[in-house]
Order: sequence, then C-alpha cells, then structure tokens
Amino acid sequence: MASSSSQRSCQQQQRHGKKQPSTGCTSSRVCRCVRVFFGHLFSNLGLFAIVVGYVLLGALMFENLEAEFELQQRGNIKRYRDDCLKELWQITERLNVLYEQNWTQLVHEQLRRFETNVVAAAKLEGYDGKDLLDSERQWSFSGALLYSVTVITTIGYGNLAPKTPAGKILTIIYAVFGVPLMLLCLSNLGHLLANTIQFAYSHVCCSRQRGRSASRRRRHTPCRHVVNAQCTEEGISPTAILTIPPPEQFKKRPPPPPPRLTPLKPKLLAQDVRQLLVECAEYTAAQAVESAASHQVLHDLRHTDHTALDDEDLDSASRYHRQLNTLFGSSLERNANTPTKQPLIQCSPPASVPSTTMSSLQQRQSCSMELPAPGSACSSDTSERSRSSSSSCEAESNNKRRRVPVTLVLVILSGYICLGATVFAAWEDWSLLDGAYFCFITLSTIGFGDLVPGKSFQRAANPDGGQIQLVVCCAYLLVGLVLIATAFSLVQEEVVLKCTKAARWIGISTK
Amino acid sequence: MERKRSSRHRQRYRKRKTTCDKIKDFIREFIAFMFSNVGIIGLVVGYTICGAFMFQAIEGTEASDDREEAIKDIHSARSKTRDRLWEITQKFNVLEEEAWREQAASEVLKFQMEVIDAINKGYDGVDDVKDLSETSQWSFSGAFLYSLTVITTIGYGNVAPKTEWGKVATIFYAIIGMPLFLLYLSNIGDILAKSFKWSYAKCCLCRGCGSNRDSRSVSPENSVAVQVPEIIDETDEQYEESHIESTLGDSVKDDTITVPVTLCLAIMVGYVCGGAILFSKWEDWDFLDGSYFCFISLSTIGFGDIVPGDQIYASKGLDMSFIFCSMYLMLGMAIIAMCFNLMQEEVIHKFRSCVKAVKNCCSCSGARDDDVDTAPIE
Repeated sequence: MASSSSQRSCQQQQRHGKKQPSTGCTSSRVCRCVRVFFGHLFSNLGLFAIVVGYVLLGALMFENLEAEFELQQRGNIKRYRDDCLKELWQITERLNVLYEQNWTQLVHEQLRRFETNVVAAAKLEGYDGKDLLDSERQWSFSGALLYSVTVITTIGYGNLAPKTPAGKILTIIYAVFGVPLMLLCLSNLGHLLANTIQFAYSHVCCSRQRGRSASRRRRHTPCRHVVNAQCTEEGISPTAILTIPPPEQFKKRPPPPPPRLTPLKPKLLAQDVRQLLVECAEYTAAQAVESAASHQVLHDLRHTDHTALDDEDLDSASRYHRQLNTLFGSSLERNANTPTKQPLIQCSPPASVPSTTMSSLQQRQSCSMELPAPGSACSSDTSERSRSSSSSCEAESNNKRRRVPVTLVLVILSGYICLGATVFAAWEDWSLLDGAYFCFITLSTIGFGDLVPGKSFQRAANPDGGQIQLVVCCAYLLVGLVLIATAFSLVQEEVVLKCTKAARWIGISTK
Repeated sequence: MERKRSSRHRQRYRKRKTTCDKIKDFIREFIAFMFSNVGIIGLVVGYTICGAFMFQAIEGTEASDDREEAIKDIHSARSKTRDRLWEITQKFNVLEEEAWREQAASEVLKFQMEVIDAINKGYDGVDDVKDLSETSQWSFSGAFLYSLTVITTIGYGNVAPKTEWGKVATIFYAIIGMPLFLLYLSNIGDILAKSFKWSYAKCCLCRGCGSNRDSRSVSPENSVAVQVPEIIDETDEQYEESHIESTLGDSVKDDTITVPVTLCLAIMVGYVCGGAILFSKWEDWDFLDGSYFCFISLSTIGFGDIVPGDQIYASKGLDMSFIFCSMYLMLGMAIIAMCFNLMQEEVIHKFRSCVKAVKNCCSCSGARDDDVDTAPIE
C-alpha cells in the first residue's frame, strides 16, 4: 500500500515536475528518489530484501570469526596426538626390558588421557573429527548462512555454535536485531500471502457456486463511494452478469432459479440491463417514498431507443445505473431492510481482459443488484442502516466471503512437511520418519540439531554437494516459516471463533 | 397433604437436579480455573511432568543401551590399540624412533576415529557401565528439562530422542504443548503486566510525579490485544486466541499511565544478568558464557552447546541444576511476555510516528505541489 501510494505520488510529481524550471530539478529528484526508496524499504519486498541481506551479512561475519577457531581446534587435536605418541615413545624407550603388563598399563593410561582430550574437544569446542588437511569446514559460508538463519528464526540447531567470545557477543547482538526483523518480515509476508490465497480461494469457490448464489460481494469496498467512482470512470463492463431473482419473488412464491446467462453482446446486454432495471425501478417505485424520481427513471428506461450503438448503450446503461444508484441508495437509508445489509447496487471493476472473458460465464466480477427479500421487516432500523451502509461493509464482506477452511490449511502444511521429509530423507539417507521429524522440529522452531542436513554429504567426498544441501535447507526453512505465518493469518479468525464458542459452551465466558 | 407430597417430590427432584448440576458446575469451574490465570501454571507444570515421565520411559532404556554399546566400543578400541602397539614394539628388535612412530601414529589415528564414532553414538566420557544410571541424560530432571524445551520451542538438542517412538512422541507432545505454553505466556504476561502497571502507578503517585489523578481512580489498564496488521508478530497473533477469554469480562478503563520502554528493557536485561551470575557461579562458567546461555535460552534460540549440568563426568548435582534451569526458564519467559505486553503499544506508536516522520520529512522537502498521500481505494 505504501509503495503504491508513493508511486502514485511520484507519478504525479513527475507530471508536475516536468513543468518545473530546471533549477529545482535536482533537489526534487533527489528527494523523490529518497521517498521512493523509503517507500519501497518499508514495503513487503523491501523487508524481505533487508532480511536476506542481513542473513548474508551475518554469514560473512560469523564465517570470519569462527572458521579460524575451527582450524585451531583441528590443530589442537593433532597436537594432542603428537603428544600422545611422544609419551608412548618415551615409555617404550625408558623401559630397558619390556614387560608386557607394565608397558601396556602405561600405554593404556596415555590412551585414556588422549581420549579425554578428544572427548572434551568434541563436546565443548565443537570438534568434528576432521583433520587439519581436510578442506571441508563446518564454518564454511553456507554453514555460516544456515547458522545465521537459525539464529534469527530462533530455531537454533546448535550443531554449529560460536566458541569464540567475539562470536558469542556478536550472536547476541545479531539476535537482538534479527529476531524482531524476521518476525516483522514473516508477519508481513504472511498477511500478503494470506490475502492472496483468500482472494483466490473465494474466487475459485464462488465461481463454482455462481448458479446458486444470488449475490456477489467484493472485498473491502466502502461500497457506495467506490460504486460511484467505478461506474463513472469505467462504465459497466461488457461482461457484467446480472444475477437477480425476478420480481415474482416478492409475491411470496419460491424464488425461481436465476435466468441462464447467454453469451453477451452489447445490444443484448442493453436490453437485459434495461429489462432488469425496469423491474427494479418498478419495485422501488412501488416501495419508495421518493416515487417521483423512480417514476422518472422508469419513464426514461421504457422510452429509450433500443437500436442505439454499442457505445451509447454503455453510456446510457451507466447513466441509468448511476441514477438508480442514487435512487436506491437514498431509499436504502429509509427503508428496505436488505437481508445482507448491503446497498442495493454494487459495481465491480471491469474485467482486465474483457474480450476473452466475454464468452466465459465464469467471470465473477459482476454488477449485481439484490432486492429485499419478501417479508423482511420494513421497519427502518436507522442505526443499523448507517452502520451497514458505511462502515461495516468490510466486516460483512469478510463474513460473506468464503473463508479458507482450517482443514485445507492443515493439509497444505502437512503436505509441505511431507515434501520436505521425502526430499531430505532421500538426500541424507535418513528414514522417512527421521525426515518428517526433522522437518517438524525445524518448522516449529524447536530445532534440536541432532539431525541436520549436510552432514552425511560431508562424509562423502563431495564438498560442493554438502554446500548446496545447506542452502536448500535454508530456503526450505524460510519458505516453511512463511507458510506457517500465512496459515496463522488465514485460520486465526476461525480458530478464535471456535475457541470462544468452546469457551462459552464450557462456561468459562458468560457472553 | 397432596401439596406437601408434591412439594416433597419437587424438592427431591430439585435435589437430584442440583447434585447433577453441582457436578457439572464444579467441572466447569475447575476447567475454567485451570485455563484461567493461575491454574494455567499448574497445567503447564503438570503437562511437563507427564512429558518427563513419558520420555524417561521411552528413551531412558534405549539411551542407556546405546551408551553401553559406546562404552564397550571404547573399551575394545583401547585394548585393540594397546595390543597393536605392543605388537609393533615387539616387531622392532632394534627400536628406531621414526619407523616405530610411523606405525604407532596410524594406530593412534585409528583410535581417534573410533573415539569420535563413539562420541557420536553418545559416549561422553563415563567409563564404567555401573555409573551409567547415575549420569544418565534421561534422568527425571533431564527429561523434565527436555519436555520444557520442547514446549517452549527452545530445543537445546543436547538431549534428543533417538528412538522412533521418542521422535513420534516428541512431535505430538509439541503439537499440544506449544499452544498450551503460549496460552500460559499470554495469561501470565497479562497478570504480571497488570500488576506491574498498577504498582508502578502507585509508586508514581506516591512519589507525586505531578499527575492530577486521584489515587483511587488509577486502575490497571486492561491489556487489550491491539491488532496491528503491519507490525504484529506471530506470537502476538497467537496471544489473541487467549486474549479473547481474558479480556471479555473486563472493561477498558481510560488510563494513560504507560510504563516506559527503558524500564521494561532494564527489567529484561537485569533478569538475564542475574541469571548469568547465578549460573556462572553454579556451573563454573565465566560471566560471558552465563549471559550467553541465558540470552540464547530466553530468546528460545536454544543452541544447547552450553547447558547447565551437562559437563563431562557429570557430578551428582545434576538434578538441582536442571530443575533450577527449568524454573528460571519458565519465569524468564513469563517476564519477557510481560515486558512485551507493556512495551507493545508504546513501541508500535513510536515506530509508526518514526515512519511517519520520515515520510513527512521526505514529502515536505520534495513537495512542489500539494501532494497529499491519499489513501488508495483498494
């Protein structure tokens, strides 16, 4: 949102800027650039880029700090080994006559001491058993990358951990700034993705139910203003599909199914539009107090020229639309308790590709009108009206919009875990259970670190493969966390509702 | 007479009804208490204890089996190396240092590899099989700490399940335990925040900070979960689940006392330092290691490279270390939840004003036309 507004303002600036004299140009351009930069910075993509940059920076820093120590450790072990050998040789030299028992006892002691050193190095200093001459390092760039990612996502494997004091202090500072940054980025991305999925889902879902449902709602429209704006700017799209129950409904008969929609041509459309608008106007004329205007509209509708050209059709249709909107809108505030508490006419933006969608009846963007159901109370509840017509459109459209079910979200999540499980099990030669266990422990940010990809690859003589593994693990991790954030965003409402219901049922809360 | 009989009938019927109702009411109240503020502590502790028993049963035997194996491997490796070295020494009638060394070095290297393998299997320096049960990782306190690290998502990893059943049990234990712990955090954070605010307000008033409010009118501000779409973090989203219950009955009182952010930060830093001092004294670490451990644990990163009670040839003081560590973690996370609660509104407000200031600054300096940021219609 921020970026689009800043872009728009920048465009306007540009338009105006061209007219400016050249003296103030550079400073204005600089300020514009700064503004664009900040706009993008705080947007979603900017945050993501910041996080990626932060992780890369962290990888570089940690690699520099810790790699030396790792090599030092390998050197230490080599030294221990040499010391042990020296001691052994001295033992062998000292004893002039070699008695087996004596000698073996001393040797045993030496070996024990050596073993203690190795165990201490492995447990406390992170020694991994490699030799000094091995090119494989734990603190390679990709290893440090995985480490940075585990720090800011608070997973914290621990197979790689800082051993130098500088590394530890840097880890603390890195985490203090990185963890909130990561949470911010995740929540933003999660919301973005959740909105996208929600939109796509209601799109797909409603397209299947177009025959049954008689209303289409758009998300987040402050209804009346947008309706007017859309209709004045762009007119009614040629693919407007009308889904109105015929007025016989109001004679208390069971509502017949809405008319089947034929491929639309502008002339036909105009006729259909006129027909239905006539019916609406008739009804309103019968109901509304302001019958003069509705009669006027009726008169207009009945006496238009049916052989007008396409453009004129659209223009006249939009004009009628506008008139009816003002008419219906005002009457809405006085009576007509629409069951869904939405204004009578809503217009959606025209389809982005009008030509291809003209024949497709799956286009959900529609102009729709809903007439009050029969028997609904005509007693005007003005407080409800004012609330409904202005502010709570959003909430109601949320309620009316198809929410992604919790089961679907859970299925997606478990599918992702299974995918990761199979991939990692195949790569790392783990069992499937180990793979699923690893994925779950990672994505829940518990992060034991007993199973980490890249270890078995390092054993094989394939150093590049090990590095790619770690990077893939990082990517899997980040995408998985974004998915989880999305899932939370999607199911939050429903879970809260269910929890309050359960609480009410149990009797914890009394509301 | 009839009336008396009918009234007695009615009374009896009422009694039957009321006992049944009483039971239902009692159950309801019990559940409400358990999920309410104070009971949730008991619930979490109980859940952790159950988990400790479960994991001890599942993993304890297997782990000791593995470790026994590792110890046996070490023993055999030692004796094998010893014998081989003896053979080498015997072979050389005239002992030449270099030749002998070459052969001995390869033996020692092999021995080192076997030690590393044993370490990976779980060897940690305990030599005698008899000492295994005393120094088992999966003692009760060790399993308790393990369960706690699972539900708090700290996940040290120094103690990790090796059996299949253990892994499956961990997954399900986590699925149920993590939301429970989040509920605990939000509830306790709420309570602590409220009481802290209240006492802070009292303190402020007592010191006469120049506020015009009557002492009686100062009331702890209700912590309403503020839904900020941009800046809300994951954990706050989960807090909302439980916030509904805790905020339903309360009324939002108009109170403008907010605890300053610096005080909250000072509390957190103080807690970390206090823990660092205690742990470094107890575990013989230095101060940096102690604060590193406390920070990494409380931020739920939880590397597990440094864990109290996890030394080689661990002493008998194992139990107390783990228990104290667990208590420290539970209290610490509650305090962090409290601080987040207190800081939330102010931080968001400051962040927003910061962003706005930056934007205004840019727009002011760059505006040649009346370019107001109109809210886009979406």
